[in-house]
Amino acid sequence: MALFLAGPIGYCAYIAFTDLQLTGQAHESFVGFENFRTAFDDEDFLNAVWLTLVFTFLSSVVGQNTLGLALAVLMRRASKAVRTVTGAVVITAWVLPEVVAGFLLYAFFRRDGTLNAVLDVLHLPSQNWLFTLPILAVSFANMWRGTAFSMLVYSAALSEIPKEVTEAAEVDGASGWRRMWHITLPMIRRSIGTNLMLNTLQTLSVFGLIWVMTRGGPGNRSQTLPLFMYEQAFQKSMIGYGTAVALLLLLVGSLFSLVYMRLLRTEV
Amino acid sequence: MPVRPTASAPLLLATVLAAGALTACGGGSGDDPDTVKVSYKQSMDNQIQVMDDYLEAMKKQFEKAHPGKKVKLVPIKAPDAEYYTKVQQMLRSPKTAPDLVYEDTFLINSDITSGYLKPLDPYLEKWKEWPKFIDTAKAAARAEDGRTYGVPDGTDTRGLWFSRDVFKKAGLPQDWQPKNWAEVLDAARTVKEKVPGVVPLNVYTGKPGGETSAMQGLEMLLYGTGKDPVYDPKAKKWVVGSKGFKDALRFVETVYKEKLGPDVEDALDPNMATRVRGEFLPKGKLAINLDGSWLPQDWLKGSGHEWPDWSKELGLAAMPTQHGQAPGKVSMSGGWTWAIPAKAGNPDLAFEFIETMQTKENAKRWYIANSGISVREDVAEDPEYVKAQPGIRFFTDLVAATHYRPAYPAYPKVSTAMQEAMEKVTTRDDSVDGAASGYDDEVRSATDGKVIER
Repeated sequence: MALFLAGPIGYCAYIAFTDLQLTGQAHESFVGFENFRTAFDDEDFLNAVWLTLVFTFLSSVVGQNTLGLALAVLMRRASKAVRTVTGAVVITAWVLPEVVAGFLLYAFFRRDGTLNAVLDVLHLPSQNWLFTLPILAVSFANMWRGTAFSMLVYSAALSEIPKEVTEAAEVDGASGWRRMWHITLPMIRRSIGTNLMLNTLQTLSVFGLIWVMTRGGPGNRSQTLPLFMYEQAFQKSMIGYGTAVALLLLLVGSLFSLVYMRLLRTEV
Repeated sequence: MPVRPTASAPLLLATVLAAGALTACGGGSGDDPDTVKVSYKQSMDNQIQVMDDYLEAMKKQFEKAHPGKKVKLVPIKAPDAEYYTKVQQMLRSPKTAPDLVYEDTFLINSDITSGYLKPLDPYLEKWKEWPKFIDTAKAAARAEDGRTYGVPDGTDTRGLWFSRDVFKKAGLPQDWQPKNWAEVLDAARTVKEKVPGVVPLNVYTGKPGGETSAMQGLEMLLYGTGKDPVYDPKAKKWVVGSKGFKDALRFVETVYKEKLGPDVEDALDPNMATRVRGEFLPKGKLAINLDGSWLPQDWLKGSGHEWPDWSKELGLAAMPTQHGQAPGKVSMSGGWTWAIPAKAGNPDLAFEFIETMQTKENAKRWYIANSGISVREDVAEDPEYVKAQPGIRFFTDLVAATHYRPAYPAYPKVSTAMQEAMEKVTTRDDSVDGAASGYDDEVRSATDGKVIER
């Protein structure tokens, strides 16, 4: 494993400290931390970091996670038919290739798309979501696409909870919400942590979905870090800088992971 | 997941270096000495196969004339910007470098500086056809070292296409020829007022369009404001802080602020150029389009969007200079060249394939097929070429007033800075002054401060 990966990874780390370009330069040179300095002085980079955090928080931490848990809870009480249908629909969204999902959602959010058609019928003001609120549109898209994963994780976790515990709580007269808060959630805490971590890391690196829907535009209002990286490395040919940004993205991911790992560590 | 590092630093470094060495030097061993691999850009529109058909025909001719030799066509289907990226990555390694590559004059100087391409002078000296090429075109692929790295297969010019039908409805003249920018905008305002539901004026803008926005859009304006508005060849420096730049941006801002252009979201659709040719113009949804001479190649027979009457339905006008100052009209020229990668396995055979493509007859056939403007004196005079297509005469005459881009290595970044500035005023995220000073900063950093204030 290391044999195959160490070389490319090491090479990437090295490139991040050079001014390597895809074209327009005879020799690259070692520039130390210059790329990182540039990044933190670069408004567009800071904008990308901010958008990445917004995107991750909205679509993954809040969206996929909460919705997935809610679906899992509801499905435990639903009849078999409802379970099957809901499961099928949600999982379909998840197994669609990213590009296909991107086009579907592009069609949904466009000015003359499905969403506005529905709003028109309801006599609500329609607007061009991809243009006015691009980051919200792509966040919603990612939520739509990724909820299934959380739902599956939580369904599995909920089925692990011994029946006796919930029944005992019911006998003691705990209401639904209180049971959820005091019994269910603490018991599936580990799954929550694991799920959060996987979701976050996946969401941080989402590229195709956003690329298809908005290309990071208009302006750079939906340009998250992976798109910013692509632009610097491949559209402006600055491979060195792009790679440095990639390392910073890795750092953001590690920070999230560390936080979650701390959350996981506390023993029941 | 933090892992405890087990390898010591020197060992790690050795691994990295070894990996680098192992991946960076293959000897093109996978090459077949009898096959020419030709990389070219395939149209994003499946129905347009002009280039595929032409190269297929050239391949047949070449293989017939060179028994035992083969041509392998390697089409790359991508929008321009992604095609460049893909090609540059291929050129970096002998394992992936083709023998012949289709290079845009926009990037060729960058790629020359990177050492990706082979100088062709030894071949050109012996080649009888080379003297027939027009001097300006020869210079398109000449580097700062004075050597030539590409054989141009035509050029292009740019102007205003307008819909006769919409103009009639708006009460505008059929022989429209605006004398300055104000007249262009006035015509657009008239259309907006009198012909609802039609986009009055299309000026490509913003990053999604890439070089299309910079060249068909901003530079067509910029080069009408004065001499050398982007790069000062005497000082060898890039121009910043110029009034002309702000004026050009203000024109773009006006188009979108007054809603004389397409909806902003259409304007920023990465596929806008394709949509203009395939949808807006043929359906009469666009009154004036600032665009290139190559448009009709999409409307020829067998192109999938045949539009035999385009020349009756569309009029042509030269883009005027800002206030009508001499020479009164402006055009930009680019074009593509055939180049041989430095790491090509069969350069000699590749040049023989260029020779096949550039016999007078084959060159003429290509210009006619792709609506190109001739860069060969002998073809430019040829009646078959002149009559091949309405508009050829018009666009060939613009060559007198045309400008080539300062396509030095920094140019792609300067171009991106232009696109960003345009996008800011299009979306109204920034004022003209703000966007212009953003451009100046970008250019300063892209050119290591080699700038001159105007």
